[in-house]
Amino acid sequence: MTTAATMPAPTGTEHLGPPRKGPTLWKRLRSHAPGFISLVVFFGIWQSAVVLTDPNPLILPSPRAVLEAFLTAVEDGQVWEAMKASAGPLAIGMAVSMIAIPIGLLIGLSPYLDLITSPYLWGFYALPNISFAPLLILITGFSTATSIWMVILSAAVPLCLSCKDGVQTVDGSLVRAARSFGAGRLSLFVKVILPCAMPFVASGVRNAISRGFVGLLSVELLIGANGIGGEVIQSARVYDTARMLAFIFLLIVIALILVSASRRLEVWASRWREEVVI
Amino acid sequence: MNNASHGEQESGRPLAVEAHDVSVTYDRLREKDTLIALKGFSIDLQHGEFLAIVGPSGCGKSTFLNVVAGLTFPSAGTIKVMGKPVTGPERDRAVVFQDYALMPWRTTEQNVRFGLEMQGRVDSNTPEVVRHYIRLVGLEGFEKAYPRELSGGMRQRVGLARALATEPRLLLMDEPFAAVDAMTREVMQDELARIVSETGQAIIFITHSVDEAITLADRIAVVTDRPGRIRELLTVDLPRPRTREARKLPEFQALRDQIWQLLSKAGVQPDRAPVTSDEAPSVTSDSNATSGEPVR
Repeated sequence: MTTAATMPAPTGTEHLGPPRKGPTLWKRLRSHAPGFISLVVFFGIWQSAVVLTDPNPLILPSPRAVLEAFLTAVEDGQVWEAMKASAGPLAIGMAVSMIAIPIGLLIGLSPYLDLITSPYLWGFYALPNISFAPLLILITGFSTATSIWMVILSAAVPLCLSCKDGVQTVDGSLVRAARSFGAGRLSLFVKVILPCAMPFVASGVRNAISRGFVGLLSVELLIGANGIGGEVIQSARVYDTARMLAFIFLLIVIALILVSASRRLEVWASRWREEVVI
Repeated sequence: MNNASHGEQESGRPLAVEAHDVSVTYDRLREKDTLIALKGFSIDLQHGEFLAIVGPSGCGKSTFLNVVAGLTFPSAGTIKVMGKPVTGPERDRAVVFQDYALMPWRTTEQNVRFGLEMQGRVDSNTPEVVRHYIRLVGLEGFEKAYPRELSGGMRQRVGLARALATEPRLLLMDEPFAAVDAMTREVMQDELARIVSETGQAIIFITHSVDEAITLADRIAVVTDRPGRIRELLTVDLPRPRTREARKLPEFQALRDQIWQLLSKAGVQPDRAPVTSDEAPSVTSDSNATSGEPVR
């Protein structure tokens, strides 16, 4: 026994790497250092460009002016209000979109359902989601419902496709092994297909969050509703470029938080896969 | 173990496996023809007997194993396991796969209990059963390891423990050591011989290694041509345990020569036999097959 256990066999199929240890706080900070430095340099160049060339603040306000506009908006409570107004439709839309998970899994299980639904799913997927905004506005008017529907339409389709892919790429040898033990349909699904598809479901959710966010913003920018996108477009309309940029930066930060949070979800769901580096 | 099983046979118990004139054909869509994988394959297996099926890649030996497992259905002939016609997978059989087929999200422990879960046989006794078979295959200390953390040989130990944990009366092994390196392979052969001398079920063992077959088996079916038919059924009368020293015995050598002669006779026109898709992966593993074998 010990021979095999202690000797990594040189077949190239081995993955006997050292156990992964969580990096220390210092190492983690250090690994982010290049990103921080690049940010500082970016704002430095921006600020010095404004100081040196003194452009029209309508076109390029200084980072300082943007920060001031942001702080003012925070003090007025506009930032908070806008975030609340955007978060509601996003959360409701995303929650409803989760129905795409069972639907996608079901489509993946049935070749017939796949053939029937594929043209619609891929058609919707290929379409830039802003293009159904006018129709949505016609149906729902200028209301929160427009935003919610937009989030659902943007998020549910890629999520559904991803879940379908997850089921369809299940390792055939695992299914065979389960069948050799006499697995029934239910236990085959619950104990083999579902765990196999989990990484795809998680990456689908991640993708859906960012797509839903984009869908929400496209509606807000289009109709100037409440919410962060609405604040951006309203600032632009009154030529308050600094305030517009402040809200755009807020959007970037929120998007980054959403992406990294959902990345964590994906890593968690795929933790058994060797190619995912935690 | 062989003697004991013969005694049972005389008392009128059905044989472990009765295959009579089994044929398997596949319709190949791309080539637009019918592939005959097995033709007129007949063999009987006693209880507790270790049968090795040796043959080149693509001779249909894995197909036969799938038929016995209930994963493939024969187009002609009859196949019975424990006296009952095969209609699908049953609890009395378990398969060990060449590619291990372990669930990568399950630890050793969870993989070993997988078969029991599939058969709906998990009860309060299960943890003890799982512990027992992990100990039997020598994997104590690796209970919480995921397959990716184990070497090829250790993964196959998990595969073996998973099959044994369901306590099958017939163990089906499909080139189980073809994907592990030569040194681990010899260790695994010794381990398997030790384990089955304890558990004592009937075994059908597919391999393309002649030495492996002689080391392990009570009888060897040499399958040569395509469509797969048994060219010769040989009895191995070597004493057990068959250590590395046993390979130097003249009887071992003579048996090996005999099998190689049968195989090379069939290998006169090896290009005529197309490689089936289910056998194709084993071609790559030929490179790290047991050392010391002549290459055809």
